Amino acid sequence: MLSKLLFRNRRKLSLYISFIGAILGINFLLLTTEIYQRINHILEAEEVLGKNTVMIHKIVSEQHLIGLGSTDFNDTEIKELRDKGFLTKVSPVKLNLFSASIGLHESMEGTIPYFRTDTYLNAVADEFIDTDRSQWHWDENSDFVPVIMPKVYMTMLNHGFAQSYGMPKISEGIAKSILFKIEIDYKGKTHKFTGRLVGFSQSINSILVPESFMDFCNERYAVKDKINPSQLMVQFDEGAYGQFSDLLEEKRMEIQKSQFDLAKLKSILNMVIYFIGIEALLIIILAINGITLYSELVITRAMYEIRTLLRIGYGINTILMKFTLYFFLRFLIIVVAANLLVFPEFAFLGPKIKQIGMNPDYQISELSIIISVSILIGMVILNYIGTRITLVRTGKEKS
Amino acid sequence: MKIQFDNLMPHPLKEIPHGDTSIWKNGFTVEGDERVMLNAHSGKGKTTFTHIVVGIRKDYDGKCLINDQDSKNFRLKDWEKIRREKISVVFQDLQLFDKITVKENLLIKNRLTNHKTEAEIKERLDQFGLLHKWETKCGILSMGQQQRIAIIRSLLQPFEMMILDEPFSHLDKENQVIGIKMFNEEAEKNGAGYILTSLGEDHGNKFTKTLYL
Repeated sequence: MLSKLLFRNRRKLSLYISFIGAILGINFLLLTTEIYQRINHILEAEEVLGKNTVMIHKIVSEQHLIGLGSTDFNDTEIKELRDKGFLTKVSPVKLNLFSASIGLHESMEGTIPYFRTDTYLNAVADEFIDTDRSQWHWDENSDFVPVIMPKVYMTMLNHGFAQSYGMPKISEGIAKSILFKIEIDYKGKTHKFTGRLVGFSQSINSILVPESFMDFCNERYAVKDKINPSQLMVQFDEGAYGQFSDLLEEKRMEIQKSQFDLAKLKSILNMVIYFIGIEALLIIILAINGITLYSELVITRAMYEIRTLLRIGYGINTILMKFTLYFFLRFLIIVVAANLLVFPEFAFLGPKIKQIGMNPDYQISELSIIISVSILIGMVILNYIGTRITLVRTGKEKS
Repeated sequence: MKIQFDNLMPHPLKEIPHGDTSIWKNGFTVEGDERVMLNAHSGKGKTTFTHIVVGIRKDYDGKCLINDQDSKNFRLKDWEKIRREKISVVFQDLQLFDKITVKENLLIKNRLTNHKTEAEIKERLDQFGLLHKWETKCGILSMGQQQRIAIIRSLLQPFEMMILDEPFSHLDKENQVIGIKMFNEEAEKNGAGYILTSLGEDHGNKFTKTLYL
């Protein structure tokens, strides 16, 4: 009865217009969110080194060949990079200062052809390892050293060397089962470790050993003075591609082209999404403003009824709850409708979405739910506050 | 309940001359089950008086004391309780809801207080000869009929004092008598008093006190 009295004067046309505006605004934001998530998912899958993480080195030029300048990074240069606000991580790729060789382990003799070669080894901080890290561990009590090899080596071995020499090809699984010895010569004594491949890196073109092993051996068995790293692992801020690109140019550094393109694509995408997001938010603000005006109109048109109810003994809270429930139900319809509208939109866009390798199926994502609930709560709170202020002002009947 | 005006002067009435017996000059106290007639000519502030007592107007100097408390210090919550349980009002402009029925107008008040049964409400309507208007929209009733609805609505709550602002201004003698009878019955039932503003007519009632504006 109270609802009949309070909402009898509402104007349906205003209601429908503000409803449609709000539904479209929220729907636009949700659609943008869904597409952004899918694109981001694809790009993150491409980011083998982690989010915005790349391996940088200096461009080798003729100047370096004649001794002008260095391709290494000295401590000052590393510090300078670390001081850049947009670089969140700068970590050197460590080199072996000890004499190392790799050869077939005694236990494997007779099963595959013997091999032995002097080698260089690298180590990066564990967080940059782009394969399964479950076996990536070494400590002083361990004789076993896990090793990661560039994936490209396997490709060269199987599709270049093996094919050319008529040798059998080796799968990654077999390669991982081969034990080899890592020998370190120091002051006439050979220190032996057992090595085995535990993974293949797509992005770091070096034979990698754990950083703890590298530090231990460099400290104990170094035969060379400290060598500055020629490669660094760096991570930059989301959307800082422009600054990072300028830095590479200024310092004459480069990264793998695929990493470079991905970073560029991500930065452009972030910018586009940023602008679309702002646009969507503006639309939502306008839509919410429309809804707020509508609710104010409903209250204004019921002003006589509200005042009279208060004068005959009704409480502010009773009337406030009526309005809050009334608007909550309508806001809920708006948010649910905005969510449901994404389904036909995805059905319509499906073929195009599939063409660019995105998942065309739509299920309401967690982020969409969070956004929807936040908007719903925001609208209810705004409306509650506005209605309460109006009711209190009416109740006080300042004359 | 005790209602008291202490040097109270509404701002709009400051410049108007008031007689020696006016409550605007002398104040007044009404308490318990007193049945008071408040006499005044038009424009002397009868409705202003009503609105001050029930907390609608606050533009005055001096104090309006309700049970010895300055009503200007009451919060909205206090007024809600007072209007629901302590002071019942018949407004001069009736304050009915035109677009809903007589039934809805009355039940909307009664549901707030649960003070009467539907049968009791209908009985009151019948006494005023309006039972057949139960489902009629208030807006299409005559002023006299609407005034009777407003009177019945004022009785659908417990009260300690009634403020009746010219409640019979549109009623004939017969209905005035019925109305007075209703007020007296309900006041007695509630152990309450009332203040009835009037243009000088006593409506055949015996008042315990007469005040002037």
